[in-house]
Amino acid sequence: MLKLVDHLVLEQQAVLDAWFDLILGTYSENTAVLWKKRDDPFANPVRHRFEAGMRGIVVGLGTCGQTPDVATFGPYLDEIVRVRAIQDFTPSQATAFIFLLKKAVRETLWDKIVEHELYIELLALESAIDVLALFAMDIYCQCREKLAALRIDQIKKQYDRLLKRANLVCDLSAEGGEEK
Amino acid sequence: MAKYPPPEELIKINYTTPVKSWMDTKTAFKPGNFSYPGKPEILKYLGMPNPRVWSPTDDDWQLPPDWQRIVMEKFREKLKKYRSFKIFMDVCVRCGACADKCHFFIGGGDPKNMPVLRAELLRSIYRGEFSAAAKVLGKLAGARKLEEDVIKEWFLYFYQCTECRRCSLFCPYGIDTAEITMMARELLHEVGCNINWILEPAANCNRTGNHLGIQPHAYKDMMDFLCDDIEEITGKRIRPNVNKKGCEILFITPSGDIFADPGIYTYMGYLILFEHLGLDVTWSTYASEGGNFGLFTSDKMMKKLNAKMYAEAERLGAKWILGGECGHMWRVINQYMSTMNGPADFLETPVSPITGTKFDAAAGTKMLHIAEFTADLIKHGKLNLDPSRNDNFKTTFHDSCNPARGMGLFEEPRYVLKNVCRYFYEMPENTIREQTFCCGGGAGLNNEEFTETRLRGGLPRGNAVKYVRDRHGVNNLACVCAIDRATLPPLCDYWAPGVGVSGLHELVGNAIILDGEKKRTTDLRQNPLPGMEDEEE
Repeated sequence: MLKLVDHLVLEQQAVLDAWFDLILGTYSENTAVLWKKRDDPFANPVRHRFEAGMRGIVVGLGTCGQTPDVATFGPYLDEIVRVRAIQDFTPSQATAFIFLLKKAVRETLWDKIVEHELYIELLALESAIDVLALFAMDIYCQCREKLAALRIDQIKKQYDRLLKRANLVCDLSAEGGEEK
Repeated sequence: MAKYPPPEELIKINYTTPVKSWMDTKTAFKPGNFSYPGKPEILKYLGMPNPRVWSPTDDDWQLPPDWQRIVMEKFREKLKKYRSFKIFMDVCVRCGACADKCHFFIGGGDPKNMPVLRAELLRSIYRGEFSAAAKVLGKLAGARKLEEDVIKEWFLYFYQCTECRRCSLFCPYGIDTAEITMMARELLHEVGCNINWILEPAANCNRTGNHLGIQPHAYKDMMDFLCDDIEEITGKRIRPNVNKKGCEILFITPSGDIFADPGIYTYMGYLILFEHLGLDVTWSTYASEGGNFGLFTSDKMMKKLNAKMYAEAERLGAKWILGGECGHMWRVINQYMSTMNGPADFLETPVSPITGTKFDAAAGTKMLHIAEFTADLIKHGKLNLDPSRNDNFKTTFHDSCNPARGMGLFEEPRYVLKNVCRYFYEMPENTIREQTFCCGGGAGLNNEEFTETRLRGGLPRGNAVKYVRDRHGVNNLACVCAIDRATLPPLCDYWAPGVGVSGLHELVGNAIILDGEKKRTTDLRQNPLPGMEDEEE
């Protein structure tokens, strides 16, 4: 008998479509229309990254067993989180897309779940999705830290050469020695 | 069906955007989506209205008491002065061709970053105030009244436009959205709403000749500093002419390249190229800025800062001007210089003293782009090059918006690049040449407080860079603009880690074999050259 994750993989396109619709529901209506319409990966990188990440996540869930690992899911989550981390969302809004997968799975596969009494498997799958949410939070924080680091770096770079020229900075060489 | 709480209820977030008209959506200022306002002392120095300390997050923006009258008067004045502006206000049929062409919209999804809607922010006032029919019909005709919220909205969105003109490329009517942004910013100036990152460089440039306010002795000092580095790398001491009268050529480039990493390596590349050619060229500490933040301020300021370069060429008695790798300098030169300050009859049409090529395309402005100059040299076999010195770089080329869309410079930089590097890979077709994506920092938005929004707008460019990184192992993004050199490194770091940024002439400088130079062991960044030293000469 097929397991829930098998149904998930078999019907991944339907799940992905439902999930994509739900995620685009977090954007303005006009934006969602345009982003759904255009599928060139370079003209519409948000959709491209989201689809690549979402497919990786769904397929990954089909094969990962009980516990998802960050090595497998990190890169796929990154495709989505890195974008949402700088899109003017609050942290919870930026990462909540992962919970929408639960909704997409329930809506798409509910008949199969009822028919084959896959409730326990559904719980396991949802727990796995919860783990992904935690990974997503880590990636979100890394992105925000990166953003802060880039800002600091820009300030440093602006004046770095002038400070050096004015002999106002002390360069420590690779050997640990000190030179002006 | 089993009872379960839907997930969106669990986290109590309403994901759907409330369906309301854009006119009813209030502008929200948050750290990261706006640039800091102009400082009062800078406004005073420039003689601009309403200098004060304020922040876009304030409720009260301390506009002048009669701000509505001021804005409408100036609006009317501009419609009268610029026929193009009036046409742009009237002719848009809202076909939507431009809607998904702006990098800020593509990366962020804010509908007011659709160029059509951004322009509509202004057009709605135009209709509401200048069109009798629309005045009566109001919102039905897309018209509205000028209220303080409108000013706030203008400030947010017209300072979220980099004037890159990608949207204009797709407009069937050729509406230049950058010029709409310029008009809107000029209207905002009238009530004292502007950003410091533009005004302070403009003020500095007006006073000392460059954006950072580097004085002549300090500028010369920085040059010597770079010449020290070149000597260390090549064993050759270069002594560039500075403010020297009677040279054939005056060379002007952005000041960003003299003090900021990685622009300094491009600067060193110019110095090496000129030394290699024995070119009769001088640098100027007064015209020490190619960039023209006047373009982002007002027509008057643009004209004045542009005139300074020509005045210096005249003072020094140069025959023509060679221009370095700069973005908007070239837009000013190609699209505005002739009508603002031209014709520069005291100069001559540029002729390469090395190859004899006459650059007729520069006959009007008498100013030649260095990529054209260098491409011509390579074509005539005048440069002694060792491209294997750049073998550590697998490079791609970012067309900077202004040289690409503002002057059609597509082939020359690629020709140069292919001759100084052995590994060159193009990004996808719809992200380069005239369709190039902006770095997100043009039009004065390359400040640190705007980084978040800039990264958002940098997604389309970053996505294409990531693609060539993954597909071809690209590790270098070459470009011909100083703002690019400042903004693309963080963009790559966020979207395509592992890809560095260089100027075109940095790679030229690496490849040029100077007469009598010592065996180079490092590139201009003082990183070891690939083990190719034995193959030299």
